[in-house]
Amino acid sequence: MHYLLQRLAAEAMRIRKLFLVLTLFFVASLCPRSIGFVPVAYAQAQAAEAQRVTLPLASKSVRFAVIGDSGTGDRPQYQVGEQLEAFRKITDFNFVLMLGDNIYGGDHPDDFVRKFEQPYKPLLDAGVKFYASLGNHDNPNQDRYTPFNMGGKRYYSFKKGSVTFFALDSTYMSPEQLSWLEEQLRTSDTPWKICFFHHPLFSDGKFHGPDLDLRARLVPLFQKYGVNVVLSGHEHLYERLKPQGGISYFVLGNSGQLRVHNLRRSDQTESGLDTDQGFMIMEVAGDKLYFQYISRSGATIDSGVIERQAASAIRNAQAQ
Amino acid sequence: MRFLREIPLFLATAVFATAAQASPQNPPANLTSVAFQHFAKKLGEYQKLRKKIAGSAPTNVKSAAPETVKGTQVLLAQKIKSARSGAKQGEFFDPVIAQEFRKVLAATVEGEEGGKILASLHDAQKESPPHLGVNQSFPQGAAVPTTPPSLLLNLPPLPKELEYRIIGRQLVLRDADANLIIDYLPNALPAAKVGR
Repeated sequence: MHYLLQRLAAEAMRIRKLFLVLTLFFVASLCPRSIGFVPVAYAQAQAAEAQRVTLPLASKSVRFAVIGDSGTGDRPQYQVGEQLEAFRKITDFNFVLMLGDNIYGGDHPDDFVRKFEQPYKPLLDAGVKFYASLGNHDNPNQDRYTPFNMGGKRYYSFKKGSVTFFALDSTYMSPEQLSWLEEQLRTSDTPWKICFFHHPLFSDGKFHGPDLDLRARLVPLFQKYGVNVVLSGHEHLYERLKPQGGISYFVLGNSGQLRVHNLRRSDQTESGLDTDQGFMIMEVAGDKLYFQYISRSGATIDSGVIERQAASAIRNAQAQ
Repeated sequence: MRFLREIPLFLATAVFATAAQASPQNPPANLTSVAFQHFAKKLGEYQKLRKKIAGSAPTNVKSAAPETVKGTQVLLAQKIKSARSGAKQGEFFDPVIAQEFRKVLAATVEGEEGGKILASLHDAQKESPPHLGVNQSFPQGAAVPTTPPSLLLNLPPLPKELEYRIIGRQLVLRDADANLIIDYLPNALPAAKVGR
């Protein structure tokens, strides 16, 4: 009897070990990057994904990439940089918007090299221009750093084809900046208006959430003057929200940083990712804006098209 | 002749009497306005100092290498520190100005926009606030708390090189170019609202 019990116990241990091994294998296959285990099927899918571009690549369109909360200097930032270059080769985007927190943890000359110039070296070498906005971890003096193309200004605008871009300093939305923005929006004559800055006005991120006071000041201006798209970072995830008052809002704060499982999906969440880093590429062709969000493994997580709304339609959406 | 000597005293008494008579009707606006004018004068003096310093520490560089970006800031901070070596808390926020700032801030956070402002402040304070001291830099790489725009709309305007920041309950006057704390106001926000 005693022998039988011993055998049963030994058998149970063996099964338990086998179960443990199988569980580990299953977990490893779910998160291949995090523990350096890449199953064949995953690698093949990744290679296939790397070729997939959903943008139309129309002639004379405006093509650009978007990164946010990127400047960590850690491996994932470099991996995102590699994917950016892979997709640049295919899509030929020629500028990148930076949504703030461009250089974390100090701003000595070495930090600019390790957290910006090296990860994006192939892009910089290819002549891709970066346009930065300031985050709460950024030294405002970054506005003088030549490759950020801020021209010594904490907030500025620039035109590319049919789009005017407005880079705002959401860490310090002074009355002067609000007046400047209103004047810029009022006099802007391009069909598309895209604003980018660090703090999100709408977000389902658990850690920060939306900045309500900033929203109260900015949204009325955006709607009055027909801003089409708003891009923000700060929350270390990706989220595309359902249009709010006719305006499309994206949160993209995971191009270097990542806060895992930080997205609490709600009715306003259209799509999101909070388990990996990534970036976005966009193309404006006529009255359509195409977007594609790509993870650091090269997988397309989200893609779609935004139809341009006339300024009057956005104003009417406000009234509803 | 004695009558002539007493004219200034008479005028001062008349002005005081007029002010005293007017103050019950609208006391905060008058006092606040005078205090903020005095504050603006102090800012003007600081700007003069900055201009003098700028001759040897260029601050209007529009495009630069990382070495220059950092070097310019460090040099400027050194010059300001040296020129204001004996600076203490309260040079800008003297007791009268401090009182008026506290009134305005309390009215703002207790007003219509108060809920949104406090929510914004609460989020901005999530990362540990730096230790405050006049002539001290904000710590390298630490998050700089965002100042809610509705708060800024109610505070006196600043020259472009200066900015207000809220750390805990304190209002900080910061030279952004030099990353230097110029002055700060303790207990600027009501404890009942901010909780610290």
